[in-house]
Amino acid sequence: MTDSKASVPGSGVASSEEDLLEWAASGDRDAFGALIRIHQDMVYRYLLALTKDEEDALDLAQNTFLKAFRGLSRYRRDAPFRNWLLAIARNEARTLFTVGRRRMEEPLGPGVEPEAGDPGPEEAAVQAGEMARVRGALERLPEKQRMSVSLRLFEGMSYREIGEATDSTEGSARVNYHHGIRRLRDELESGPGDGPGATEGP
Amino acid sequence: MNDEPTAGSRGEGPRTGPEDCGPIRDLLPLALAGTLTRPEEAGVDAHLARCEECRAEHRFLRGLVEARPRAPASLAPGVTRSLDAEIPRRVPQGFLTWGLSAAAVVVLALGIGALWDRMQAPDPTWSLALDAPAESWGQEDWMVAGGALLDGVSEETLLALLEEM
Repeated sequence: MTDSKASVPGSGVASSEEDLLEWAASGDRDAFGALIRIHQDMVYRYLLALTKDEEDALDLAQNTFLKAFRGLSRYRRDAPFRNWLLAIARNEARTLFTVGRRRMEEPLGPGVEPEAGDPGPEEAAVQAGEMARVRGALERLPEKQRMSVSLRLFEGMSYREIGEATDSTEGSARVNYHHGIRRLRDELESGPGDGPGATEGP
Repeated sequence: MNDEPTAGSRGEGPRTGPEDCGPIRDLLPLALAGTLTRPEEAGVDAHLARCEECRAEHRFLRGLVEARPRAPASLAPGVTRSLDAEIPRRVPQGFLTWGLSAAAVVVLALGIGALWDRMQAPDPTWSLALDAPAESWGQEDWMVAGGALLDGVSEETLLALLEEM
């Protein structure tokens, strides 16, 4: 889970998310930039799970944060900020689906962003290949299962939160998660080689 | 239906017998996200130490988490560029404050100077009185207000009025 504390560039002071929200609401863009860095992975993954398209997910994620900045004064503190962001993201995705896709869907490729700390190109290629397998398997899940797995496993959200984020119920979110995990295991552990993370032998 | 399969509140840890693989596996994503309470985490760890199947599940899920997509590095800069294009950043606060203060000093100085000049100049009405042409003294226009009322008043009364003043 991402750390909710971040340093605001230029200030050298670590702040809580509450502080960042307050400063960003008064127009502090550096504080809002810190909020983006905290939540961008979650928002991007959510939109990627919805659209199955990396470029659409990136565009929608950027629009999500732009709308969030403009509407910060309307954010009520009675719900977590990330839930509010996901609600905006969901609306953005609906707009895309209403207007229609701009181009044909392309399968997820291995276009992986290099991460800090990658030890070398060979291992990075192996990791990229594994990531592509996982992402492909996720893409082939039905949408509700894909969303539940993504939000539960990647974001650590409760089933209640998943229900709210996917316009479904808590019970449906739980069932979809377990069904999705079972399908992923069946696909990833039945193919060539072992499933992800299965580096330890029996 | 409870969202999380803990025994009661979130503060209590799960039971760890073999019949509890279901609730434990339900908590594994939260364990990987680091969002479990300490008692919950202890319960999960204790169960994993005794259950190979759940350990395998934990490994599988951890592999998925490690392979999860990440936001492109261009996401945040793209947002910042759009915001800057839409709403130009304000002048740095320190410079703006200095500028406003300097302007206030200038306005105040000009105001004080104007006031000082006015105080030094004689009252224009006095100038008019002092510069009144000599021939005006013989005319009725220069008579003080109320002067006509004194006509016909006895000298004795006028003296009494002067004593009162």
